[in-house]
Amino acid sequence: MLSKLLKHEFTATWRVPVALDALLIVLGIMAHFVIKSIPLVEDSVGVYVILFSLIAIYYIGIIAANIIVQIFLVMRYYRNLYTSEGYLTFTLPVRTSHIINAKVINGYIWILLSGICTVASLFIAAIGLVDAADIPVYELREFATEIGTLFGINDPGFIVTLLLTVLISSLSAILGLYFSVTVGQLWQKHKILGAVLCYVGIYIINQIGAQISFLSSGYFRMLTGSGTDFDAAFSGLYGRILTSTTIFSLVMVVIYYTGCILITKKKINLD
Amino acid sequence: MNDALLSVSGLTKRYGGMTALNNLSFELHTGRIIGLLGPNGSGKTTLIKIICGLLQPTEGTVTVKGNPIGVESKKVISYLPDSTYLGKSMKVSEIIAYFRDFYADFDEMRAYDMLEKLGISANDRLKTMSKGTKEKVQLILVMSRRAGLYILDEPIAGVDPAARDYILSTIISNYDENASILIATHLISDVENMLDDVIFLQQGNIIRFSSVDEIRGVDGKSVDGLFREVFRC
Repeated sequence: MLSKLLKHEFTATWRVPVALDALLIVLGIMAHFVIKSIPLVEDSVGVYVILFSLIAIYYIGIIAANIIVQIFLVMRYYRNLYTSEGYLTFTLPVRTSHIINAKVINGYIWILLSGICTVASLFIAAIGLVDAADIPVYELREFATEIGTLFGINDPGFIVTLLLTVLISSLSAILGLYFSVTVGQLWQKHKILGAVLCYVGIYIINQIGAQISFLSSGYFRMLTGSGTDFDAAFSGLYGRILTSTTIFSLVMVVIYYTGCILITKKKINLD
Repeated sequence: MNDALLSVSGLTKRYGGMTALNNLSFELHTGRIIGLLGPNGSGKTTLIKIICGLLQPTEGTVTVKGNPIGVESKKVISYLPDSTYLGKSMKVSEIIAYFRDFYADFDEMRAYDMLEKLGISANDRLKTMSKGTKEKVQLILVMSRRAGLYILDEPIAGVDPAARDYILSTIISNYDENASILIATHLISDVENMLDDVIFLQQGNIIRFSSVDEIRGVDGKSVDGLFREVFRC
C-alpha cells in the first residue's frame, strides 16, 4: 500500500515543486547573463551597486522559491491529514505509518530536488560572475586548492560527511515541519497556533544544538591558541562541525519521526 | 464467538470536562438499516468518527467483525462524512482511480454507471461543482463499494428534496443485503420508511435502541412522531 500512497502523493504534488525548481534554474540562467553583461570597471561604484543589488534580488528569489516549496509541502500535509480531507486519508485501509512514510518520502524528495536545483542555479550564476570578472581558469583552480587546504575540504572524508550532512539535515527540515503540524493537532483549539509555537520551539532547540555542535568542534580552543598549530586545527574544524551537526540532526530526525507516528496513531482526533 | 458486525462496549468520549459519549454499549448485525437519530450535539458524529478511527475514545472498545479499529475494520466500513472529504482540485476520474487503488471492494463500473445516469462528467473537477453535485459524487463513491458496513453521516442534510430522493434511492438500490447501513440524521421523516432499527441518542447516552416495527406496533407511533415526543424542547 505504501507504493500506492506514494504514487498518489507524487501525482498530487509534483506541479508546484517542479515549477519552482524550473524557476530556480531560470533565475540562475538570467543571473548568469545579466551579471555577464555588466561591464566591471574597478573605479565605478555605480556598477558595483547595481551588481550587488541584482545578486541580492537573485538571492532573495532562490530563498523564496525554497521556502514556498516547504510551505506547499507542509500545507499539503496539514490539509490532507487534519482537515476534512483527513476523513478520507485516515479511513483508507492502510497503516498509519505508511501514510506518514508516504508524506515524508515525498516531501524529502522534493526538498532534495529543490536543494539540487538551488546549487545548480548558484553554479550557473557564479560562472557568469567569473566570466564578467574575467578570472583565468588556472587562478580559479589555485584559489579552490588553497581554500580546500585551508578548510580541509580536499579530504574525501569531508565530502562524504558533507553529503551526509545535507541528506540528514534536509530530512530533519521536512520532518521538523511535519512534526510541528502533528503536535499542533494535540491542541483542542487553535491547532495552527499550536503548530507554529511548536515550530518556534523546534527552531530554538535547533539553534542551541548548532551552538553546541560549534563549541564541541574545538572552535574556541583553536582561537585561544592552546599551543597547537593554528592551520592544522583550522583545517579539521569544518569536518568536526559537520560531524557534530549531522549527529544532532540524526537525533532530531528520530525524535520527529517517532513523534509523528506515535501521535498520529494514538492521538488522532479529527473534530 | 460473537457474530456481531459492529460491537461497541463501554464507549466513552470526553472533551475536557464535557462528556460527548457516555458508556455506550450495543451491537449491530448484518442485513439491517439502522437510523442513528438524535438532535444536534447528541453525539452522533462523535460515535461515527470513533467507529471509523478518526477519533480516539476515552474509554471502551469498538470492534468490527471482531477486529479492533484499524486496517481490517477500515476494509469493512464505507464512510460518508457530513462534509466534503475529497481534494477540491481532483477530477472525478482521479478520485475513482484513488478509490480503486485502495479499496479492493470498489466497483468502478458501478461508479461510472451512476455518474453517467446523473450526467456528471468524470473529467470535471470537484471545485467546479455545486455542493449538491459534490455530495452526489461522494455518495456514488461510498455506495460503489461492496462494503460490510456503510456509515452515512447526514447524507441528506443540506440538499434539495429532489437530490434527497436520488440519494435515498441510491442507498437503497446499491445496498447489499449482507451488509448493514448506519445512517445518522435528524431528518427522520425522509428516511423513516427505509429503516429497520433506530438508535436514539441524547447527550451522549443511548436512550432507546429498538426496531421500527416495535415502535410502530408497541408504541403505536411513527419514528418521526416518537422522535418529536422524546426530544421535545
